[in-house]
Amino acid sequence: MSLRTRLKRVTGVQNPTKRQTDRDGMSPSHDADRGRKTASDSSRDSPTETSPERSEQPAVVVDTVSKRYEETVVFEDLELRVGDGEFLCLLGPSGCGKTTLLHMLAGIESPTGGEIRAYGKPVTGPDYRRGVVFQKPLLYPWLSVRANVALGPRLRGEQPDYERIEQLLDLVSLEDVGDAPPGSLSGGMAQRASLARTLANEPELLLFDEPFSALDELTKRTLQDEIRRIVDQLDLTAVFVTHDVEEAIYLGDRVVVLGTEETGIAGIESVEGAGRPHEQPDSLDHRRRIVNLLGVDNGA
Amino acid sequence: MDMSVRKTFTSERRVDLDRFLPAIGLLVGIALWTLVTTVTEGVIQQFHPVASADALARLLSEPSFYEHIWISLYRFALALGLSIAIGLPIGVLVGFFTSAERATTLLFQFMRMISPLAWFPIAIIIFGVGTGAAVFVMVMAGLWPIILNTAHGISTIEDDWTTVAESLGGDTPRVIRYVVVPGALPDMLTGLRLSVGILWIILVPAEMLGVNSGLGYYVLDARDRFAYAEIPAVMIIIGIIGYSLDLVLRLLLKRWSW
Repeated sequence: MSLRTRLKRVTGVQNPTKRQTDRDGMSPSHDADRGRKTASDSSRDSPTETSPERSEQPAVVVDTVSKRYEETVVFEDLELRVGDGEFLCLLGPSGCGKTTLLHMLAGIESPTGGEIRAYGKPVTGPDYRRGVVFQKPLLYPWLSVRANVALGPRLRGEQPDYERIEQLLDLVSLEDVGDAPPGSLSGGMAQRASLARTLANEPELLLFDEPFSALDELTKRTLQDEIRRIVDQLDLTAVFVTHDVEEAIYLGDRVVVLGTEETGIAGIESVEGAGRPHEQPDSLDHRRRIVNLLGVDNGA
Repeated sequence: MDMSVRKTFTSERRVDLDRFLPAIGLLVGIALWTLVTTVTEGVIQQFHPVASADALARLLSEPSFYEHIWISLYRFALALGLSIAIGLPIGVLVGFFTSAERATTLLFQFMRMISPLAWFPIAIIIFGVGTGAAVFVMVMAGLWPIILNTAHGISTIEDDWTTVAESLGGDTPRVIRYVVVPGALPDMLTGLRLSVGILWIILVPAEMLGVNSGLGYYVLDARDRFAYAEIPAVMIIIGIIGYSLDLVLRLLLKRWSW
């Protein structure tokens, strides 16, 4: 099923404004649909519909990839797989190479050695099917919010389907500011617009590069919920770069901790099905293990 | 509390004064003009503001004078259109492709420093006397700011903007069209503004040399007819039109800057 069909059904079935208020802030449903491969599946797709789509083939294979900048080795023989439909978080301190890895997945940077394959095809450059949401929203100031969202199809030489653009604006709760210039948006709104712009290309894989690092805590939490909701509803595969342990545990099915090890990976923590990070014992266990992987003394 | 009241008061007074400063400056200029043409002996007295205002009123009541204004504006528009049509694409190419920039920088910087009026003999040989020669000379002056500013705007465009466009699936021509060119629009407008100023300035000597109509021609013609008071009158018209053209560009720049 194409993203378009899914999007149509998703936005057709539910009232987005209502959904938004339901999931806002501190409501008990903050992470109600975290077990997205189980509980949400029933409401999203019937098994007969999804099973042919979800192949055994991983979405992304990082095959003995190395990356060097002159003398500096960032990764050496890095091996990583991102499962189809998985939400993978890349966590690590500044300078560990997590953005570099994401950029290599996006095809914005190339590995020094090895190969990255997305859905079986080698990554050789940027591709709209691997949509990137950058750290800064990077909306184009000469275009309205709507025109920004519609830019992807234009850049690919297609006439944008404005009905779909409206659905996307709806999906990210920006339906009222489509005509506004991007400069008038708040940081959170701009980042939503940026997400909608990436989604307009119907990507198979979403790559997030610390998209919430510049936002305040409340906006960040709201957007984390929205990202989960959107990725679940559109049934996407996502790789999410962050330096925030709580965010990684909250969003990810698996958390890949990057460190100073030669391969670049300090360890991988599977957090699938974990509860809300602050309150559930499970999450605290994950948190402890991840912080250990990061090499931080837990008692401190 | 006292301090803030005093502060508001003085700043308010300054705002009032600020508003009148341009008019005061203009009046000082007119006063100097009056002074020089009053105290000086001889022919300079014929350029007196009162005589000029008189001549200006007379010129503006003559339909034939407007034909000179229109023909000048027509030549200006033609030269500007050609400068944009030639300069913009060259500027985009030079700005986007590093090799094109390396290949042309020396040539353009060299050409830019040759007075456009030096082209006049060549223009006359090629185009003969008439609008063609005048417009050619103007284009040779107005082209460079458009090329150089466009190229600068495009080469210094935010890398992030092009990275986003490429990750959204744009190929080079579409990235240029949808992102690079609009992104460089403020620099293009700066180039356009400089070009408009230069073209309007060069228009007058160009019309003095190659044609028998237009405002530049009219200045020389007034001298030949010993109608000296008409010279500053035409200069005022030239100044007002030039200022208005620049004002339009300034407003555009204010609207499109990022």
